[in-house]
Amino acid sequence: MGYLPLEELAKLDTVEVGDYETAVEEIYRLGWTDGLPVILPTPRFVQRILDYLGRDPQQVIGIIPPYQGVATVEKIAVNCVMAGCLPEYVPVVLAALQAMLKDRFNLNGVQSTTHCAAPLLIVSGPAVERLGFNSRDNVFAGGCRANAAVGRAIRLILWNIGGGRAGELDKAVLGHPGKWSHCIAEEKEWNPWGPLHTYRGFDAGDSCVTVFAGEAPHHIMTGGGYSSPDKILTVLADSMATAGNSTMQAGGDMVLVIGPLVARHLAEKGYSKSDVRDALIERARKPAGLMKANEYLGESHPFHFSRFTDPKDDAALVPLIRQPENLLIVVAGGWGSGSGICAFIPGWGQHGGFAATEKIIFPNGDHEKEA
Amino acid sequence: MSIRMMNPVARTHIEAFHRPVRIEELHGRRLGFLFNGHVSAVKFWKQLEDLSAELYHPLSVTSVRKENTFAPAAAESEIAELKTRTDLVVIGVGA
Repeated sequence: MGYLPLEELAKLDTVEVGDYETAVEEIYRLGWTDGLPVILPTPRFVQRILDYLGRDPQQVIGIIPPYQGVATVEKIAVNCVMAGCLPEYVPVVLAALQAMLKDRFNLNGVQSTTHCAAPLLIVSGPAVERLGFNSRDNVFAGGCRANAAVGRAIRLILWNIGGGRAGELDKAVLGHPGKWSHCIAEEKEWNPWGPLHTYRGFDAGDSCVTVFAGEAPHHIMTGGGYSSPDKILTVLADSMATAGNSTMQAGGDMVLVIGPLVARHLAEKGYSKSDVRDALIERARKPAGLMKANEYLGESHPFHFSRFTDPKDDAALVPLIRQPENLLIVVAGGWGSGSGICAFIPGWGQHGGFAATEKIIFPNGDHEKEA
Repeated sequence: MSIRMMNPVARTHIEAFHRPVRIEELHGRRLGFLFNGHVSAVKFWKQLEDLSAELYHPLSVTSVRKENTFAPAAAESEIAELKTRTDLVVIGVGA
């Protein structure tokens, strides 16, 4: 795609141009963006973030693969400006980045795989309301600066610092639109089961961000406003266990976003989050005879379903959810109609992109734990 | 009035690397293979291993298949095994 080499670009400190129009075109020429327009990263804008954080601009937060770019506080701030972040959003970006740098996430693989997986950020806890994240209608789409800018900042960091540039080190065959920006928030008020991060070892009053690398969300009409939990769970399970998704083939983590209407309905019928998970473990299965049609992994591969199910028995059922903790259940989205809309996001398989959660640390005790 | 913009691209982290001494002759040496397990290379890799043994007559051959195709080899198990049992390791790059 004709990008300028990162090694050469990295030598620049600042770029000076004569006017706004030239600045915009220069950003494209230098390949500082993946195609979408960005905010001009002027020193004043960047300084505003650095002043808020109160950290050494040269402090290294991490090394971002596959280019092994050195992510200093200042470089992260520059990318956050370009993404449209308010200074208060940046601690969320920092926490997400730290989560993505955990071994279990395998960011090197996520950035360079031919699979479409892209990091999805799920913000939960008091920061959702305080920073104005959207957890309701159109949660995966536009309309909210916090969701858009934080997701976008992560993408620009992966692009400019991590070198995950499409067609170069990012080898995704198709990719998906979440590679522009992919950040949602979990609903609090309409969530009968408590925040996601409490299931991952954090206190309810903490603000956290969970990262997970997955496909684009697949919309599921459960009929949850009218039907029984048994029927809802059957529809969910069938929509999740499909022969072509990587998680069905190779295990690993996955996210099920349950709309608030369905969540309330299930909860009122006595289902806890664990009950829902257990029911889906039991039901989300496909016959080995069908699974054998997909040879992308090969039976000799350590992640192949034959480790769990006898491949010679065509009627034997292959489980989608290999370990209970592989399924993350998140409550988000608008109330909607009785159709009870949910979404399923398969992961990359056991290859990487496993969910990782990090507490968001705000400077000077700002937005501390909710009482 | 001009506009100044800060560069979002970072320098790369470079780790010190000491190039190992090159082995001139494979005959009688302990040969290792580290295969990532990708399905597209299963047949090729098997042939490479067989052919290498046939042509170079190594003292021994140790084949390690990575548990995760898409992640670095595990230092404590996969790399450790090759380190103790081989003089030279053949690896593949890419899928």
